[in-house]
Amino acid sequence: MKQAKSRYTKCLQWVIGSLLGLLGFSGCEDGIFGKDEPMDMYGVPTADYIVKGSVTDEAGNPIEGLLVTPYLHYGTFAPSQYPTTTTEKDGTFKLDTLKGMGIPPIVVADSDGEANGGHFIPDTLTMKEFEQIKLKDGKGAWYNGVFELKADIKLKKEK
Amino acid sequence: MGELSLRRRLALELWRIEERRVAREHPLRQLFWECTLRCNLHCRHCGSDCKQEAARPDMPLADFLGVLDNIASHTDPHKVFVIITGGEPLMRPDLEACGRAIYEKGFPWGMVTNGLAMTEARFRRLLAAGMHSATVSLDGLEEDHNFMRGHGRSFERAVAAIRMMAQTPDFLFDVVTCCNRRNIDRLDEVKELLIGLGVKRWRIFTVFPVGRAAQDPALQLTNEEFRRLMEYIKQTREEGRIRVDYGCEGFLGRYEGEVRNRFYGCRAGISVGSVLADGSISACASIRADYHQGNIYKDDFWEVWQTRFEKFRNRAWMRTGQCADCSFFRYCQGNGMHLRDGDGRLLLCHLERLK
Repeated sequence: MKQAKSRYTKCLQWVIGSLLGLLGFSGCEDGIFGKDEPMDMYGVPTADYIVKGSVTDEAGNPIEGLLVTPYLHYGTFAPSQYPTTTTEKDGTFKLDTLKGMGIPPIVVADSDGEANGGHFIPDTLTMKEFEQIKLKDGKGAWYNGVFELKADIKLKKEK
Repeated sequence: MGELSLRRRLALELWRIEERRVAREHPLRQLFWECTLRCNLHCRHCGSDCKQEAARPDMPLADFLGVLDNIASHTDPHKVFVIITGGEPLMRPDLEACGRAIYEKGFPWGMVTNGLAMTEARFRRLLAAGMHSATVSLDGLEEDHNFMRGHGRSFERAVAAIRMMAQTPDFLFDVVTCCNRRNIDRLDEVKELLIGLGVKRWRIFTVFPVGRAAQDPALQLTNEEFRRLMEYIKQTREEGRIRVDYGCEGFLGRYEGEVRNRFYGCRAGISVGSVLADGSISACASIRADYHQGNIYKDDFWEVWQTRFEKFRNRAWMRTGQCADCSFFRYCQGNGMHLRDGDGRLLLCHLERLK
């Protein structure tokens, strides 16, 4: 429905723009269709990031059940924008598609107390601590493509 | 329709169709943030309430970011351009942090500045914080600009800021000039200065009777001067050496389609919103009368944007006074919201000035 509406709008704009062009107002044609709007002149580079990792204790044993959360560093992100996950039995995790010009810091924290090997001190990883692999090229001026970010993380036990 | 040719009238009718659609859909496209009321200048024509040390503290960044989160949960943030305004945004020591945080949330941003405090180091930091565009004010050659701005070095600093921007590849900016009785005869010299600096876009506006300018009628062009300005812009556009536009206000009759890249339409409250320094939710930052629709400290911004702003989106209420019998109302819709006083009275009619 939304797509049909958008197609209708574009079609209407095309017709109006063409008629204005015929009337000799080609400059206005640009304006009407937003070519003159800031959004079409400027943009925010974005990319899709798939964040993967594996978490072990200091002895190299995988840790299950850790909560992996993109840190909402400006307070009030809608929770749905940034998915969270927990580590699997083998200590691995995967966060699906974070969108942006980078990723927020990723916090790995114990969520089950003494279960699964004890209580671990949380760690926060910034983007530069992940290995970055490009999976798919970008498109246009502002979309940089799909990246996989990978990190091996070691957590210390709380004493 | 008097002086309008059939060709222009047909074009304006087509434009109306688009304007009505946009008003119905009211997509938020530009969001002004009045990040401070402090300013390092005391301009003669200022429409703002700013002072060197404003009574109201700057809005904390986190409060504005809350608004952006709210917007981003309903619409694509890449399509909402945040324009940081003031006061003078550079008065905020945390401006770079503000810009970066806005950028990280996916909103493109730019700023309006007088350039006085724009050092090269600060400009580089702002670029690194994701600044995409800027508007710099330059109100004439040195003497005229400094007279308007009330500061002996303001011209020199504004020119330095413009030069830095012009030398930055892919950085989009424009220079805005307030045309007044003092500088109108020297616009050509200003144009040559701007072309020499590498400026591609120039916007000229005229003083409207709001803020300090309301008490300074000497700044207002006469009708003859206003017509002369329209002719000047038209000729400069034809010349094609620099893109010049008249500001966004005012239906201009036979000059519609000649002095701006688009026909007139006030998008305040339709695609332009604002968050003012006290948290008020309003439309474009030039509106000084109380047409606030809510406050971010009490209301949900998006709900306000979606459900209020009736006065902005249906301007039939403006059809009073001199607009009551005006045959151009269908295109003008009562002029810009910033040209209405608190009682809804029209402060200035551009068509009258063209008579």
